[in-house]
Amino acid sequence: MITKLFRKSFITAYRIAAVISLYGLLIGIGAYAAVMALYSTNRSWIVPVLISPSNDRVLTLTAQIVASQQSLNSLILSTKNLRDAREEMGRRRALLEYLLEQLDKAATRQRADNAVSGTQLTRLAQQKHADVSATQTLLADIDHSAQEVDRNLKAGLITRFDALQQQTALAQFRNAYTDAQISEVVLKDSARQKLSTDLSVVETMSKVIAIKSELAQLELTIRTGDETIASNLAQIANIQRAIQATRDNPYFVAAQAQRATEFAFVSYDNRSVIAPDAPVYDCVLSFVACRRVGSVGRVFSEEERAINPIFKTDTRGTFIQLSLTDGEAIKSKTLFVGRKPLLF
Amino acid sequence: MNAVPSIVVLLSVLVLAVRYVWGSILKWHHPQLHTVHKNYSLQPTCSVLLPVFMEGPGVYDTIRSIRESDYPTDRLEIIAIDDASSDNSYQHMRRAAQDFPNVRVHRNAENLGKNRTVLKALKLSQAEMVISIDSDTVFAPNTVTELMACFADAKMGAVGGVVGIRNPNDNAITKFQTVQYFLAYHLGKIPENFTKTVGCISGCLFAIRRRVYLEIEPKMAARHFFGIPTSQGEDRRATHEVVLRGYHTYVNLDAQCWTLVPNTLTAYLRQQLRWRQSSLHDFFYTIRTLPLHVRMPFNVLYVFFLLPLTTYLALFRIAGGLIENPLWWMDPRPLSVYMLMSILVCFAIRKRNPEQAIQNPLALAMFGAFWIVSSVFITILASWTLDSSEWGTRVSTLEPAQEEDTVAEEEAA
Repeated sequence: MITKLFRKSFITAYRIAAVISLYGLLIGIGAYAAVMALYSTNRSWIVPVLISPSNDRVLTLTAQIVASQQSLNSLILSTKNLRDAREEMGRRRALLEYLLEQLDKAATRQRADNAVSGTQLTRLAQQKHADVSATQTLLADIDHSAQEVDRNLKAGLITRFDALQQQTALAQFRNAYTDAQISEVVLKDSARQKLSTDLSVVETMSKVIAIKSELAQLELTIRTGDETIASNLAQIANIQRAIQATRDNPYFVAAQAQRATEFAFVSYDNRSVIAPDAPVYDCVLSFVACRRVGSVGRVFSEEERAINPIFKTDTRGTFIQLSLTDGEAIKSKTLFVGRKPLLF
Repeated sequence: MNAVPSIVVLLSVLVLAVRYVWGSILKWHHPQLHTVHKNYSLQPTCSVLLPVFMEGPGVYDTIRSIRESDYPTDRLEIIAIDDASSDNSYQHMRRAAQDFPNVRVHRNAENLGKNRTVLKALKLSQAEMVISIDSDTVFAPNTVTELMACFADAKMGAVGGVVGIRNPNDNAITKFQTVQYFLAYHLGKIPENFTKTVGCISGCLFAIRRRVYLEIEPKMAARHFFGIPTSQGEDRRATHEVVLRGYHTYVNLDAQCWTLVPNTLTAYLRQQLRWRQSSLHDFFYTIRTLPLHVRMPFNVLYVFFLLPLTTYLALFRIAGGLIENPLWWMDPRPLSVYMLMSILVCFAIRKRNPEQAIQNPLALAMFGAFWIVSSVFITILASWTLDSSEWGTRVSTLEPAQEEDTVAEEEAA
């Protein structure tokens, strides 16, 4: 009796379970087919993603941004130093050019003066030579006068004092003659110096050459500096563009945020419905009883890859930032943008 | 919990390895290990038990093919019972009884189901051996001889043969089944033959010692699912009972017969459902009587536990696959492997059984995904319809019986 009752109860329970299970299976198959059909044709589904500041990609991106910023700062500083140096070198070049110009003018003026004074000196030297030659004829008379003084002294015609006075006068005359000869030589030398290339001219030329060489060196340095500055500026522009591009990246946004940020993956097929401020819906069982849970924020352009949550295939697309009024919606497998998938 | 998928894969691989790798090694390298000694001079008396239901004129062909057997006529009788068919099956049976010797025909007053009809035929037999067959089975001339020769082994309890397809090229469904049958017999049964513990000898061609059948008959008659009599899988259960009593079971690959297979999707699915129900009934019976099996040769656990378990393992794998990837079933690789295997089997069929040669084997492609349908839908449906007891393949369109039980008994002179 107990066995019979047990069997009857078991069979009843078994049949109830069978009905539930088989209808469950049918519903499951129907839901599977419906979801497959819906997601094959619908173009408004997105996949919510929560990205926290500790996300691996966020951390990697942050490290890259820091490194890029450091490079940028270093380049900017280096460029500024180069520009300062370039300005200093420019000033120095201007000074040297001025100096060279003045030196050139002075040399020209000196050459002109020398030519004039050299001619005058040459004439004076010739005149001096004539004077000296005339004086030389008088030297024999001086020698004769000196002998006569000696004879007069010995003859006692003149005092010793008078003799000494006369002899001194004669010696002075001889000295004057010698001085005249020296002056002639000096005069000739001066005239020669004025009229020929002498050491001072060579020294002047040497200074000019040195200044020109320094100017050339400076020019080369300035040109190299200008090229380095141009290269640095190009690099700075590249890095700034890269950093700017990085700013248009959900992971950068997540890195800047103090808490996990809500995004969504949008496959390329579904991009057409995406627009800032478009409404976002969350649905029960991913396709029915939908309700608005927020709107679309920023739309990013960088390509992302994700696994399709329904078909489990590798899918290409982009990220959008979400502004969710219901934070729980981020846990859903999919959300819909623009409108509800089945109008309810 | 994470170990479950690994265990599932491991068990599946184990079963596949035993069934196909070990089967191939035995078949081509150690044929002596999976064959039995045959004695063709034995020739015991034999009754062919023929339950008939809605078979129409085909039953006449069945009886004729048996009577054209090379087995001594006086040692072979046919006991055919119509299970209250509403068509003209019974008339064709009577015609066969008039045309051929040693043919007895009977008719049930009401539909009893195949199992009870066979048991009824068994009670009418006095032979040493009985062969239970399906009403659409056609014998080769040497089929009975081959089956009886295997009973030289005193421990041999039941012997089966290779079931071929009579209508292989009806459509893609029958082509698919031709490949399925060929693979199952010529490779799948080899590891089971190795230990003489075949798990299921097909009801199409089931030879058994009558005394052994009588021994297991009470068990067969009393089969039920929590009090509800069941009729599915009488062949599987009979084989199981024979093994549990310590007898050998064996499939003689030289004993060939042919049967009609369903050529419509509905009929095919109904047949598969019935088979899956019987497999699950037997699986739960194994679990209930597990201590008995543990004491048997190691292959018994493979045959009666692991093989049916793969039904659920497949379901688990598919469910896991679908959860992981809903489009998992679209992966072309399994289909490609299946296609390649099918083409190879088609070549083997053309060589060994040219009468079943499949035209355009590429038509099999559409059935590549059937494994998923079978594993998911049929397994689940079978699991929840174990209390069902219909014939299965042929839809019953019974009308009230017009004649009483055993209203006619025609015997040839």
